[in-house]
Amino acid sequence: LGTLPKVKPLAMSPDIRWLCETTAEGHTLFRIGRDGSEWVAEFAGVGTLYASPGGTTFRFEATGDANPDQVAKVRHGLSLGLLRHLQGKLTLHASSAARHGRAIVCAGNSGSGKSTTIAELCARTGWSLLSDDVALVDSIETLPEITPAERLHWLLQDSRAQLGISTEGAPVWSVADTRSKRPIAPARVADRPARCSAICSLVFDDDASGPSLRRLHGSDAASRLLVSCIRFALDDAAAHQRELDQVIAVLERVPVYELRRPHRLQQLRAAGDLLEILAGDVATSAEGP
Amino acid sequence: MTASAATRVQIGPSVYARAFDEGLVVLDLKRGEYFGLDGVGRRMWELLVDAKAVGQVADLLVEEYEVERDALLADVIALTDELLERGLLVLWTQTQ
Repeated sequence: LGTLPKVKPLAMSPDIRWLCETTAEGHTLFRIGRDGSEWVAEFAGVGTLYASPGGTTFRFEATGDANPDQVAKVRHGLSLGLLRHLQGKLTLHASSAARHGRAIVCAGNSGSGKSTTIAELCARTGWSLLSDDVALVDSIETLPEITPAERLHWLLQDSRAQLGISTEGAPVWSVADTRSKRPIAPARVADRPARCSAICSLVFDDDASGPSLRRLHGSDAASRLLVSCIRFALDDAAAHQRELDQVIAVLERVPVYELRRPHRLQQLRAAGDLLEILAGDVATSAEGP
Repeated sequence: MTASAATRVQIGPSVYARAFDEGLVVLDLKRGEYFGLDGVGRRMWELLVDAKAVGQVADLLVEEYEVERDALLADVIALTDELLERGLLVLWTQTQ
């Protein structure tokens, strides 16, 4: 979520039992808890999601002075991923794009360049955006597909500049927005699920001379997916077990790669070239001779 | 504790393991923590949870890998100790 202001709690039940939180500089950015049987996820300065145990009924209460773009991003992104976890579905914290019905998914830690890398692909011919922040993985037991989830890239100023995107004249919600990620409409948004061709774990390595791709296997591949899973029911053993089954099913059907590259945005184009080659290679490989 | 050649173990009561491809993921359901084992580590796990004694596991692995039995036994004991310490394996009991 980047740099958000200090948490401003809504009129919350004092009975909420918080199970985990993400903090920065002593301030809570995000936390998950339970209020009786109901699940609660609070996004600092944006809003709070309340959901029934099965995720079928929910409500999102936006914080009064929240940036409406941020509210929309959380509602259609991370909140959706959290609800899907309660519904028994797999969602990765990842950006994704499709071309010719095949999807490339970019996963990685916050700040690993997921949005920027996918925006680079989406600036090229034939690619369309599936997701900026949450990759919805469906049809896992047959051929895993990525279902379209989000309609905007969220990019920092230096990424926008590298991609030649100007936001001059766009409304600025707050002073903080000028140095935060801004929503950018891609040239094309995917309108249907795309078969998942490859999942790339993004890693920065300033010792690398340029971008490189490496196929991952075994528990190394598994760990890259498991750290990217979006989870809500944190204390539900059955949910953990189901998620592992889903991740293994994906690993058995979709190759996982590591895309290692230096921080320098000038290397973005080369990284995009590698992903385009990968997309072509895995599509050819999947189709067979 | 320190395992010996005679030690027999079984998978912990709150542990779920899934093998795939070349790897194995072991999930501690109580803590929500994952552990990975690849290659010979995965093979050791498979033999250990098949109720074979640590020494038997080393005997079987000698036939599969070009390693001296003493070295293999030391490795199996070290892995068994670590898995027991983490609660992913427990000492074998007839009732379980």
